Amino acid sequence: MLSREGIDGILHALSGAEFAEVFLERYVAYKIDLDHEQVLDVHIDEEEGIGIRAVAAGLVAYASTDDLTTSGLQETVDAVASTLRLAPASRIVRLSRRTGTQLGVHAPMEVALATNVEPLRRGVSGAFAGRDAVRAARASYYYAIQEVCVANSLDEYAADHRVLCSARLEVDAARGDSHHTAMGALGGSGERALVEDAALERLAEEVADRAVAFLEAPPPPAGVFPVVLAGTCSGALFHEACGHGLEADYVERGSSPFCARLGEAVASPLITLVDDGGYTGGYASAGIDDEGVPVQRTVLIDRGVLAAYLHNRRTARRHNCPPTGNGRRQGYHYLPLPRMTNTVLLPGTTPAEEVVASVARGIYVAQLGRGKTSPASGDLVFQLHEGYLIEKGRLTAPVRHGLIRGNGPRVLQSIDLVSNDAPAMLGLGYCYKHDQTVTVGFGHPTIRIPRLLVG
Amino acid sequence: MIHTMDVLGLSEAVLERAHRLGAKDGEVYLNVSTGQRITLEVGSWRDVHVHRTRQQGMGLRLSAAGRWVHGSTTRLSHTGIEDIVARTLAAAAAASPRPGLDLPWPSADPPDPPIYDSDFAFRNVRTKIEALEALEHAARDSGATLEVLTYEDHVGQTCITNTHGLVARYAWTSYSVFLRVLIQQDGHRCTGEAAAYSRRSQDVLQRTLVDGAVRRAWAGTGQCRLRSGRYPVVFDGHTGAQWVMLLSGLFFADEEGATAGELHRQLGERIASSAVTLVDDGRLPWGPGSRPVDDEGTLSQRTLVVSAGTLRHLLCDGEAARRMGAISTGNAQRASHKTPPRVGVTNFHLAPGTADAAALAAGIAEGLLVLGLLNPALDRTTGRFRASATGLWIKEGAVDRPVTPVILSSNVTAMLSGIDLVGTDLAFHLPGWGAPSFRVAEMDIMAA
Repeated sequence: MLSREGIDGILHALSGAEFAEVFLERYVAYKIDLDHEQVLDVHIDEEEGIGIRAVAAGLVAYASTDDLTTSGLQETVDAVASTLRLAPASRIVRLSRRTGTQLGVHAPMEVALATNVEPLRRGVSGAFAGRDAVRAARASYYYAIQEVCVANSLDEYAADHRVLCSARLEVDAARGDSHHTAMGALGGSGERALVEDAALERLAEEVADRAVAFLEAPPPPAGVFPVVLAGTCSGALFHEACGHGLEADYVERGSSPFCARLGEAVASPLITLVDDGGYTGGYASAGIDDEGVPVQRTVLIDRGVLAAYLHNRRTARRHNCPPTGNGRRQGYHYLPLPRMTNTVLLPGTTPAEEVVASVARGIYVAQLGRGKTSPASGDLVFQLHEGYLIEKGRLTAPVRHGLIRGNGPRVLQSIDLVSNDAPAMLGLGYCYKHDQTVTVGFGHPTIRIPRLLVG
Repeated sequence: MIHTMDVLGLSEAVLERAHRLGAKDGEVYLNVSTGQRITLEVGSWRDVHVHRTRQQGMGLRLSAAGRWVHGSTTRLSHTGIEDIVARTLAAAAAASPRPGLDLPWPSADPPDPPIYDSDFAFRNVRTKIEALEALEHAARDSGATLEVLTYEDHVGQTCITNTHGLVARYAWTSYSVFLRVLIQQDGHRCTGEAAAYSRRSQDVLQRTLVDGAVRRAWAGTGQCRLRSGRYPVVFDGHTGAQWVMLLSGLFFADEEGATAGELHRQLGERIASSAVTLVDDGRLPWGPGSRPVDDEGTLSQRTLVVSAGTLRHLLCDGEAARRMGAISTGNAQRASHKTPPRVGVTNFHLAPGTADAAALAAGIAEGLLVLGLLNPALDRTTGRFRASATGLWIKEGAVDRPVTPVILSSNVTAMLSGIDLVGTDLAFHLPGWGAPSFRVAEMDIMAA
């Protein structure tokens, strides 16, 4: 990788900019895919490269390359410098000279492929055991190390070593013309990232049981119902319902229902929502964001009152506030955007069983599927993958493959019960925004929403 | 920045290195490109982002003792190649034997669809910004605010070589534009999006994109409440492409499709109305997914998947074709050099019909023109389609007011059989998927 002196040289070459930054990344990962007990694919992936950014008078010049040779770097710096010439010169200032410590990115990175195939194979094998209806089981294991280094014209130097790991299982069951696929995942980041063998085997059992249990379940009845979302439903409800609308770039463009509402009651008083980039084991946890800002725990909604937005450096500067450590990017070929990390709803006071018992007729969501929101209108849609009818306060018949539709701000206002138990593990997800995909974590206790359209 | 790398020499060096380390068979996929992305962001401020990118990457499939493994790297130096070849081969022991996988053999001269148009890509940044500003002004003239507008071009070359002596190399360009506009009406804020993808610039820098995005934004402001029921539904090209994208997966002859899809047992049978012809065409002039060979070197072709309602072919890569006892349709697709080839699409589309797009609403007493789909899903095992939709109500054959968002649902076989009119306005609103406007005789609409 590039030396500290090399990075200094690049920043000096861009000393005409208001702000200049170098983002270096090195990434090594492996992924194993199993179908039945056959290891179908083993992938090894290595990447390294650089993204160089300079800002002047409303112009953001960025260049990135995989080519870290001297000529490749020079070409990249030249591309940024030539773009900068499009900016009016009046705002350009010279940078100060920086000091800092040595980078930590020189350490060799070895990914040990190895011992994770057998537990995965046992998990897949266990999915079939004693279940005649199970037709297929697939599993994948992903392990990645990412090292990043960020240096900028504010005299800041930061490096981060990130470890990610996840195991995902899918089990297909079939009987006659009925089919069902159940899914589950384990994993996280940091020292707790490695998936334990016993946990993997337990997950396989649980997913296989669900594949069979929901095999002949009908779609949910169509209509407007009270909906209870289980704390274990792996749902990114708050990520979609308000998380995107609290990202400062949407707020600045006027395309968020939460524009200019800091200090206002935007949710039920039961709602305290945090974004926590340092959440232990969270799938989006790190030491710094991708602009070198230390991650933090940001209270977004405090007992119903809007308390903060999520910022990267650029939006924070425009809002005249400190960045919140949410400048994230897919990799060095991308500019950082304000993005959520691990978005978590804090527990309330009601026992989880009382949340279900409070509903005379409604829908209980056991597993949520993919969700999507329109930040401007706040409309959101989720797939109900697996659930149950609630009748007279009890879970009765299983239902599956429905759609749940609502409006994020209205959902937030209407939540009237939040259980007192925190989720045991955050959901693992990938969030797509402006052509970039980043990992996210999410979790909430069991909650009740009085009215949602189910179809 | 133009790539001048000797991709062929590099590929040969990698295969030689792999052979020395014990690989029996191998394939090298090399992709190098330079590109530019320009983004206008407009809010309480206005930013212009100019991004130059130079990308290089190698994907490597190697077999040792019948076990296949995939490696990828962006480090194309001598050391980088030594590392990835050794590391990839070391991982082969973890894989199961895969006797059905073999690499393609050299074949006749590949087709030569037009896929290279570098003229606009090499123009200066200011020229490109001016072209984008013309779209920004068009949005303003339509009463909308441009929120974000991203233009992207890439000029690259791809080289695929394998140990059977196959060598395929081609140069390509790609262009895309994505934009989102915001409108505010009666206290409602709504955004509308539009995108275009092509191998040439003139197809993507179109004023009609702005018109489409504004119309979609307006449709999202609907306050007209519907009664739930079964109604005729018209999809425009944008939402039609979303549906076609979901549909295309049912025609993949991969492992998942083979076990899941009912359609796989219906080759030669009628599965749709006679108005439905579905094509995957890797040779489509300037098509966003066009190329002379697929991502394992098999010649690209035009595959008639459904012809006037009858299922004719499934889409295969080499491995799927061998499993079916068929010939590859040239549909091996890599998401990038980082992923091994899988069955995928080139330019998969609903073939245009003869109906004028505006005439699709004619004859509908009450129905919905769908302009936006949020989170559409098609379950491959049950065939159930469902999505949240925004659009305009159709009354007595005329397009009326925007409606409040609804849930659309149907079964895919019922939808295919229910398509009774297809428009002439085919466009690729997604990279690899296109559709003209079309009408479905009846779908379930659930309103709040």
